[in-house]
Amino acid sequence: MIGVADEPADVDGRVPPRERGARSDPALPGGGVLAIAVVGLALGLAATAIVLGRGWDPGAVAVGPWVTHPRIGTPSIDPYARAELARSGAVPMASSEGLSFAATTDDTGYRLVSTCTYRLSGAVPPARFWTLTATDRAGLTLGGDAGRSAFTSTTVIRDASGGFVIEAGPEARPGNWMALSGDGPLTLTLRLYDTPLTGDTGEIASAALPGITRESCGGPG
Amino acid sequence: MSQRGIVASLSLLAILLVAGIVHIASLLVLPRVAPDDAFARLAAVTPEGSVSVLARGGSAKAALPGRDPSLATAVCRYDLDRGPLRVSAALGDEAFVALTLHSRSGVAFYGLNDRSGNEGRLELVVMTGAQLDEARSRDAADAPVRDVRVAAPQPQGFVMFDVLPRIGGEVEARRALASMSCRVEHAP
Repeated sequence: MIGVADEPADVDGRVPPRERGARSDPALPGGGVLAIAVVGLALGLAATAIVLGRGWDPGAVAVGPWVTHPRIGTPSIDPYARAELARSGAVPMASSEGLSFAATTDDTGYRLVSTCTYRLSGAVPPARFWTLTATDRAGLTLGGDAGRSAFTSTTVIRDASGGFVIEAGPEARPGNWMALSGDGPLTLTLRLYDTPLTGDTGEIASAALPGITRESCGGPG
Repeated sequence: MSQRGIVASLSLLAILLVAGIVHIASLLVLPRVAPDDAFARLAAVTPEGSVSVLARGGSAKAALPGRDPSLATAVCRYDLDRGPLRVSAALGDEAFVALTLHSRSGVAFYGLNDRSGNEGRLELVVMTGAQLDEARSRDAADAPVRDVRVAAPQPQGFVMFDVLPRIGGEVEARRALASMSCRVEHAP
């Protein structure tokens, strides 16, 4: 197996020394150097594939279950986020547009699933406009074409104090109901348009974002 | 430590060194070679040098993943080797409007929103560094430059015009998107 391993699956691609005879010393020139090069190459590519596959990014900031990438919409984007954009074909929200937060777990750290019902309550950081969207991992909206899979700062019904409660689940609820469909992982995305939070990591870490609590699970069954 | 042990640990160190270099190099090379980046995805559905309205985000028809379904978006793909690109869009009373410049791989290198509108319009000229130098050398000393000139890091990229309409604003969004224009400016 001499061909350059392109896929990370070939981590175990140890190359047997081609010269016979040279025994006892494990790191002779030739076979040993080649083995080091190939194993190093495979490990390096595997690290890249794993890191990008998991979406790890040193520039990410977590606020409770919500994760944002403050520099992703700026020219000073870090190399990991830049490589991930190129791989996925995604276009980030520019810092002149605002900031986007994504949650894949609830407040207690359990994965969000679209068969469960969740309650989102609390405040949204200052912004001219915000949208909240329920999607699957690939970014496709859940809830069919009824248009019930997104809320915006103008469509949400607020209580007397200006706060709101949104219930996201497969079964219809009174009030702010966000429809969920399917039975896979769920991603909630909160996008703040024209917010003073952009570009200031310290402010973001202390921002007040809606809490996500699981109310019930199991779906209609 | 035996000689064998020294050789083994040196080999391990060498492997880690190679792995680290390969990891960093692959991260840096990926944006240049990724076959399915935003520019390539847009190239499949939009012509170069003119405005196209994209399908809403979140649907299976969406050209780009992970876009906000509430946004209406028009895009203009450019190649500055044909000349500088003048981009313009009218502002109405939409909830939010932004004009953003992206390089090939999607990195946002410049953006304006409706706060920076001038006489009801957002307008800018995208150029390569060389074109910017040339334009500056042509500038008359007495006439002030009115254009917002932006130097792009790469000759290829795209402009996104994002509109958040107010409630029930599909018609409003269409009208706003239709106001976007982008055209190549040929040197005089």
